[in-house]
Amino acid sequence: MKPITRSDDVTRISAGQMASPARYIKEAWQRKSLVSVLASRELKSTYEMNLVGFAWWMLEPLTLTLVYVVLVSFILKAAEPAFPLYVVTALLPFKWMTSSLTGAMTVVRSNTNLIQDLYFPRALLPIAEVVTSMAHFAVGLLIVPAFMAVYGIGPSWNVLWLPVIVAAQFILCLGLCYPLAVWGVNYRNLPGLIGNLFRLWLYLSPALWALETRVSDPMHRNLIRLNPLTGLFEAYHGAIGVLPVPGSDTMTKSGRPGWALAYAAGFGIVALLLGGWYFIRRETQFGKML
Amino acid sequence: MSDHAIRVKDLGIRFLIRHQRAPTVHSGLVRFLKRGGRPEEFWALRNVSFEVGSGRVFGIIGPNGSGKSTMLRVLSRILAPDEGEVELRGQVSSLLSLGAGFHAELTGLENITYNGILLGLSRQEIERRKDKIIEFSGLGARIDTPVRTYSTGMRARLGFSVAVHVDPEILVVDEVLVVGDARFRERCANKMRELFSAGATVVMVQHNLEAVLQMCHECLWLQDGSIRQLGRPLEVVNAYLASQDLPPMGMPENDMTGIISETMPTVGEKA
Repeated sequence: MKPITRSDDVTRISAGQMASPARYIKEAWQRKSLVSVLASRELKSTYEMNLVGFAWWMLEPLTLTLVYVVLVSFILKAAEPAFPLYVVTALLPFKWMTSSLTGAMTVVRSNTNLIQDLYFPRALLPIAEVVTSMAHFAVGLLIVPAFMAVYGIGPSWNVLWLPVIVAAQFILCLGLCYPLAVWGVNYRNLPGLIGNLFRLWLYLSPALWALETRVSDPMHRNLIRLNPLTGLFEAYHGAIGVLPVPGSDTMTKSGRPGWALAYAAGFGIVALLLGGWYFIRRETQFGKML
Repeated sequence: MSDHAIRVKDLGIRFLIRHQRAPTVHSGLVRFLKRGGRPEEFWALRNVSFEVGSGRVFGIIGPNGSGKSTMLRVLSRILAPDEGEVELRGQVSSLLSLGAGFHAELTGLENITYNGILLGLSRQEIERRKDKIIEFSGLGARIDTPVRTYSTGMRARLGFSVAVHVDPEILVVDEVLVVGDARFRERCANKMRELFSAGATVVMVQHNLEAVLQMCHECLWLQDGSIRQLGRPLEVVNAYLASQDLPPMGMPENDMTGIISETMPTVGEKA
C-alpha cells in the first residue's frame, strides 16, 4: 500500500460560515459521475429503459395535446395554424420543466439514507433530477418530426438553434430547482401545491396561443414577457417553424431566437446563482430535518 | 505545522424539536400567522473541544443518546457546527451505517463504483482498486448478484472494504468492526494496522469496551452531549464502568495498540 501523504488539505468548518464556493464546486466536480449514476439509476428503475416505459412518459404530453386540440380547435375555434404541432412543441419542454421541479422537491427526502450517512455536495442531487427529465425530453422530441410530416413542415436551419435553447432551459430548470429542493425538505406537501400552480403557469405562457396574434395590449404583452417560459416557448416554436404571422393564417419559417430567449437564459442564470447559493447555505441542515 | 488530524473547538450541535414528523405548507402558514414561539431547542453536543493526533486511534464511548453518533456525523461533515468549529486535515472516509450508499437493485460490483463515487473516488481510481476491494470483502462470485440478496454481514463487509480502500487520511467508523465473521475481523484488523502504519487517523464509536482497550490510543467519554472524561482508554473505560455500577476491566491479552505502538508514539506522549 502506498504511504498516505499527509496532505495540507485542511477543511475548516465554522458555525455560521458557508463553505467557499470554489471549494464546494471542486468537491462537486470530483464526484461529477454521481449525476450520471443517479440519473441512470432512476431511469432504469422507473421505466426499465424500454418502449413501454417511454410510451408511458409520452402519455401525458400526448393526451394533453389531444385535450387542447379538442378545446381550442373545435370548441373555441381559436387555434394557431398547425395547432397540434404548435402545442406539442411547447408541452414537451414544459413536461421537462415540471418533472424536474417536482423531482427536485422530493429528491432530498427520497435520498434520506445517503444524506444521513455520507458526505457529498448535495447540490448534485437536483442536477441529477434535471438530467433525468432531460433524457426523457430528448427521447420525446423524436415524436415531433412525425407531427411535422403531417403538416408538411420541413426542417429549417433554425433547428440548429435547438442545443442553445435546450442549454438555456437546462439553466432555467436547475435555477428554479434549487430553492424548491430546499422548501421541499421543509414542507412535505409542497409538490401538491406547486403542481396546481404549474397549470396556471402553462396557461399564462404562449403554449396554447401565440403572443403576437392573441395579445394586442402592449402592457399585457410586457407582463407576459416577464415570464421566462415565454421566450423559451417562442424559441422552440421558431426552431420548429410554427410561429404564426399576425393577421394571416400562415406561419413564419424564420423563427430565430432573439432577446426573449436571452432573457429566459439570463433569468435562469440569476436564479441559478441565487438558488444555488441558498441551497448550499441550507444543505448542512438537511441531516437534521429528515 | 501541528500534528493533529482533527481539532474540535467549542463544538455545539443544536436540534429543533418538532412535534410533527415533517411540517406541511399549511402548518407552516399557521405557525407564521400565530407568530408561535420558536420550536424547542435541544443541544445534542455543546462545548465539546478535543484534538486527535494524526495516526491515532480515537475511541468514543458513552450511553445511548450521549451524542456519540452526532459527533461522528460532524466529523464526517454530514452535520455542520451550530457553534464552534471543526478542523480536519486530509480526506475523510466514513462508515456510519451498514449499507450506507448502496443501491439494493445493483450488483455488488456496480455498488463498488456507486459507493466509491459517493466517497469521492474517480472512476479510474475505483477501477484500480476494484480487485483489491473484491478480494478484501471475500464475497467471491456473489459480487455479481444484487446487493438486496446479501446478508447483513455481507453488506457490512462490502461497505467496509470500499471505505478502507479509499485510503483515507481520516477514517470515521461506527461500530462496524463488530460484524462479520472471525476471518473478516482478522482481515479488518490487518487492514487497520496497514492504515495506521501509513499514518491514518481513526475515530470510532464503540459499545464494546474491550475493543476500545485493544485498539484505541485515546478514549473520549461523552455524557449528555458534553465531555465527561478524555484520556487513556483504561482509565476512561473504568471510570465509565464505575459510573454504571459495573466492575472495572483489566488490559486485554491481545493488545493491538502494542502492535501499533511499534510505529507510533504511545498514549500520553506529545510529539
